[in-house]
Amino acid sequence: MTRVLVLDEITVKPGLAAEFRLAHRNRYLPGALGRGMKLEGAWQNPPERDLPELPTTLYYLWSLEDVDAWWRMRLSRTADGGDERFVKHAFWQEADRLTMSRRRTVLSDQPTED
Amino acid sequence: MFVSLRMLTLPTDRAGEREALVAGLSGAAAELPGLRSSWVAPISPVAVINAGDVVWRAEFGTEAEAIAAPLSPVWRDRVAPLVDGAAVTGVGYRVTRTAVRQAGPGIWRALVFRVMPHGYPQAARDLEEATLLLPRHVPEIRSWALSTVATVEGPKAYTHVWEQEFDDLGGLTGPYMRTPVHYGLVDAWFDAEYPQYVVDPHVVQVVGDIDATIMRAP
Repeated sequence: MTRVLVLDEITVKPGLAAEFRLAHRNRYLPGALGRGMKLEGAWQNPPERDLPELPTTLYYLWSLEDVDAWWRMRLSRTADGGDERFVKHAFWQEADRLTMSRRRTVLSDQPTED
Repeated sequence: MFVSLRMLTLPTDRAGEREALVAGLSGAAAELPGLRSSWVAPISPVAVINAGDVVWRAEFGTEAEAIAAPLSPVWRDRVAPLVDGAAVTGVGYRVTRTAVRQAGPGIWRALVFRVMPHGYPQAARDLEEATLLLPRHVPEIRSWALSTVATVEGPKAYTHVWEQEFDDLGGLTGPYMRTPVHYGLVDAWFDAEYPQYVVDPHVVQVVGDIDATIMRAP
């Protein structure tokens, strides 16, 4: 069983990191948890606090228990049976107003060498 | 070689005509001018997305022959009455990037999709290059073709056709979906959560049973 990790790196415009973190916590996290994503950790640079002169890069590391769980997350439906991707896309479209760039990377544990 | 691929959706009150439509189109296609080969099949309800009831994949020598076919008397007399009232989603494409291995029974699967305009040129190119990694890493794909669309028929301006053949449905639902090339790379352009998301969500996925390889090398 291959655990799937998802790393989001989001660089937020100067002065807007708090607004992004709040939106992420209130409007993204509940849905992601419902889709089977487990938040392993959240970090940022600059460390400890935002600097008003600089962008803040936020890191969110998620895990899914295996590839099947990845596809269940990916192809999730809303409670009324609709395609949840439009809900997800709506969040990112709105959040992109606050960001300079973002990247999502899929990771796994490293293979074991002989 | 130029392929005309049509997915036909019957009105709900004519759902019982599916087998007759397959038989009728198969017979009529054999008489179409310019046709090199033709495959008509009921669309498998398993894994179908926006594809309808019947799939018709017709190969012509040239694009001009494919475009001329609906103007022929055979089409007017035999094809048109069969498809009258059905919704048609069609794409025409020249097959260039392909590898075909002759084999026996299996399934043919196509994903027909549209790269949104903001995805050109770079994202479309990156998506194509990533997609072409799949047959290199999924040996269950015994034949494949990745084609860009030249002609469209129906409500959506599709841009790409990604065809594969497998020995059975398990090759598609298992190794193809589980390879990290798919979920960890190619899917990024299809997933609305990625910044590189460029594929229109209204894709068509069509699967049909085949008795032997239906794709041909150009």
